[in-house]
Amino acid sequence: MPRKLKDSLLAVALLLPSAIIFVSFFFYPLYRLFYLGLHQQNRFGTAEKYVGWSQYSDVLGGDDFLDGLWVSTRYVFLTVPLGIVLGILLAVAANRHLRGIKFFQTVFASTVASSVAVASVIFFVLINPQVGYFRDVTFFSLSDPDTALRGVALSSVWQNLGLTFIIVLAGLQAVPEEIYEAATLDGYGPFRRFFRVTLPLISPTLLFLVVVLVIFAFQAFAQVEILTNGGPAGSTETLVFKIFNSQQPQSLGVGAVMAIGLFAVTLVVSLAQFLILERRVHYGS
Amino acid sequence: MTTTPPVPVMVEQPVKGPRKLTKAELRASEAKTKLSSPWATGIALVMAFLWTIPTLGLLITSIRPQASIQTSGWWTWFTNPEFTLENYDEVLFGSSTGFSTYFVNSIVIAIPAVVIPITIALLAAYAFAWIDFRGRDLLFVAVFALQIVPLQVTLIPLLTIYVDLGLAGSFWTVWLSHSIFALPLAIFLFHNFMKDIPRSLVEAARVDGAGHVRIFFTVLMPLLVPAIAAFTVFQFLWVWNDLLVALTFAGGTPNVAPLTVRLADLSGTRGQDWHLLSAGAFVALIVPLMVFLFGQRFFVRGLLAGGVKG
Repeated sequence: MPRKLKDSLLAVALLLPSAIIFVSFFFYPLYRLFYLGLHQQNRFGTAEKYVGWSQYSDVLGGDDFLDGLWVSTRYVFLTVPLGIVLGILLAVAANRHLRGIKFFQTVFASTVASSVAVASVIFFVLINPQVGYFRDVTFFSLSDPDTALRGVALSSVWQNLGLTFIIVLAGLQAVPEEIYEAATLDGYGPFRRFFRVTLPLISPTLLFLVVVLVIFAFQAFAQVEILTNGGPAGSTETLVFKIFNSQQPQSLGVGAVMAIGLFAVTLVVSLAQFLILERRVHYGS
Repeated sequence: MTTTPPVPVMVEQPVKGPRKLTKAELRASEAKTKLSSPWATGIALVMAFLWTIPTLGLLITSIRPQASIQTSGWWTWFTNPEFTLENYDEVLFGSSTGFSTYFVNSIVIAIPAVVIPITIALLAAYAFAWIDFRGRDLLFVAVFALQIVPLQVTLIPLLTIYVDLGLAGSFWTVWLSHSIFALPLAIFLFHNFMKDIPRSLVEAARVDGAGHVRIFFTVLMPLLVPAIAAFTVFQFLWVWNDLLVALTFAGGTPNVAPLTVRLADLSGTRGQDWHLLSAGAFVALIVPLMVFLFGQRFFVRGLLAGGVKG
């Protein structure tokens, strides 16, 4: 057998397991998703009725989806800016040669290992409306529809901070020492040095982080499930929470359309962030 | 993500035992210490303290007797220290909680959910990196692009497919789901590492008469260990900590459900039982924490080299 043919056959054999998985558990489900979206199910999920694209316009323009989108969007603004600012503060503070600094770095980074579920239980003990230590703090009270989302956001900020910290610290450590020394010799104080030198140099890292954290926030589920179960009065029902709760047989079609909506929103938001933010990012020369 | 910007790679060398700093390094470190303001140090200390309060509170709660938990706050422990393992005993082996069973489930879920995608991805990555075939580049870009589809999107159709295949309620649902969404990133990451290996090394082995199999195991494999370790840590934390996939496919099946599902359940039904909740949270936390501490170095490097699953 010629070498070329043999190689091609080998490539096919090596790619086959991946191909099988992608086709049967990725592309086929995506096709099913569109199919489900075009149909309405009965109470047992057995009989299906074709309803066409009207289900798409009904669901995506309906109150349920738009409410979920609104909650998820607010959640992004509650978690991402605060998370990034805290992450930068922590990383700047820990990026120095001090005795025991490795210990602090590990402590800060360690929330990466904690799950959303564990973080939520930790905050559940702290802010639960009936039994939490801080149940009387009205600013993030879980029993008030106006503030419950803040309480949920708080646990996410804490849990994501480990990741933010690791990535910002890596960005800071890649900045050459000489640049700081040069800035200091030029008479830059610590604050001016930070805003005029450090921040522009780590901006690619920050862009990366913003995109990742926004996606995380749009996909928030476990923290809502544990801390509020969507309540009070549906005020913390994020998009994914709504999708998860449309798994009853009769609402599969509606859930499918919402899932497609979530995909579209994620895609648009990520692309928009790159188009808007990338122009302001300094990649060096 | 298709458009992940370049992220500077963390410059962290493996520790090679203690050694003396050169004069230049000493000067550099002195300069750095001088450059940093005492303000930042102060902030670091305060933040480190605030940071640990939630976890510390939970840990202390978990080792206090149930009666004390219900009558006083955990901070009183500092003036009145008490210690008991009863909460852990009850949460692990109590008939109504049974965390030990779910702990085993978590392990049974996590190990194949890490091994399956790594094995399959290594095969595919080798084909993409070292075999010439038609349409290779196009196919590779296609696999890479799959990363933009969020896992949440296909949960509902996957559920119906698993039911059709008769897999519903088995470990396969969770193994497969985690494998599918790990594959694109794993293939991408391993391909990049394999591509970085100098062509001359592979060519030399080929001249010596080594076939693909021998090249893979003797030349590439040893150099891929850091990448595999990085992905293992990453995927393990992801799978162990997942709640959404587990709840969707194994939520109603106690034989299959992992710790996170049980913990979420406990917080809903027994929210008053802090002694169980706090001990349970630590049982769920201990394994990923160990994995993180031991694999920290690989994890950070892999995270920055391959972008983050999003």
